[in-house]
Amino acid sequence: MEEVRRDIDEKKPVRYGPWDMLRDVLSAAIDHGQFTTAIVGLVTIVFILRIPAQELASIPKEILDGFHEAPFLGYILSVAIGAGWRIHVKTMLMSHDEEIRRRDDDINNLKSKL
Amino acid sequence: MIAALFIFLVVMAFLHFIYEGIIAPTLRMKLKYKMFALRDRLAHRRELSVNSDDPAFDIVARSINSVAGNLTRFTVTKIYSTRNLLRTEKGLAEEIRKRNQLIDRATDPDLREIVKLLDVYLFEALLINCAGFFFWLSPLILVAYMRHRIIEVWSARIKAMVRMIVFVPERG
Repeated sequence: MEEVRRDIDEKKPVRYGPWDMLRDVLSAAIDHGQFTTAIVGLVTIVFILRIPAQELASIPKEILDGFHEAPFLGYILSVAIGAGWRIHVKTMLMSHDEEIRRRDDDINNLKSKL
Repeated sequence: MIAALFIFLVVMAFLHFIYEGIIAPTLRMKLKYKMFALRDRLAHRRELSVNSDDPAFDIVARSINSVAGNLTRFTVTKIYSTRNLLRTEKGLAEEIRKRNQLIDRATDPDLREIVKLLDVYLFEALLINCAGFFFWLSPLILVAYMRHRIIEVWSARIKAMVRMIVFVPERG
């Protein structure tokens, strides 16, 4: 890292263009395992930019109508979120308890040796 | 088409938000607890070991601390940039080689096992950090698993049939 910093000329203004931005976004996407999603997102943006303005206005309506036609999704999602929250909290508490128990055992073992 | 793509991206963003914000930190915390247990095991082992002044113990203890504190940093691009850095920084590469030699020369079998576990935990950290990739791989994993199951079940049946044929008593 230090080597990289030494390479940068302090007098020259740092150029940071759209390609650098894209590179950084894609690098972060790779780091989080979302590279394919990022590519799909970019393709979607390109598609949206190429759609004529009149047709573009109908897309949000189409999406919202889709939600309107499937109200059961909301119920399923709320149940899934509730169940997920409960499972997550239980798991977190269990792993925390396990760690506390392990440390207690360690301390007790050391005390018994004294 | 565009609406479906948009909905897909929103769902992916929602899932990713839940994973990165809630699930991954919990998984990292569990991994951190495992590393703490590993560090305590190393300390106990050092107390009992005849070669307690072996520098390999210090190196491994520092490595465990470093890994436990930087779990979010183990990513694919980081590994790639480290590899590039080691190609240019010969001194650093030499230092790492010397440390690896010290650990390889360590006679304590428990220390070697701890190092192996540390490697496994590092790999786990990498998997946790880039778990989003597995969503895309999930159809392949499912197909591979199903194929494995199918082969397992059918091979057992075929073996049973072959055995039946082999042990058919001869007539006359």
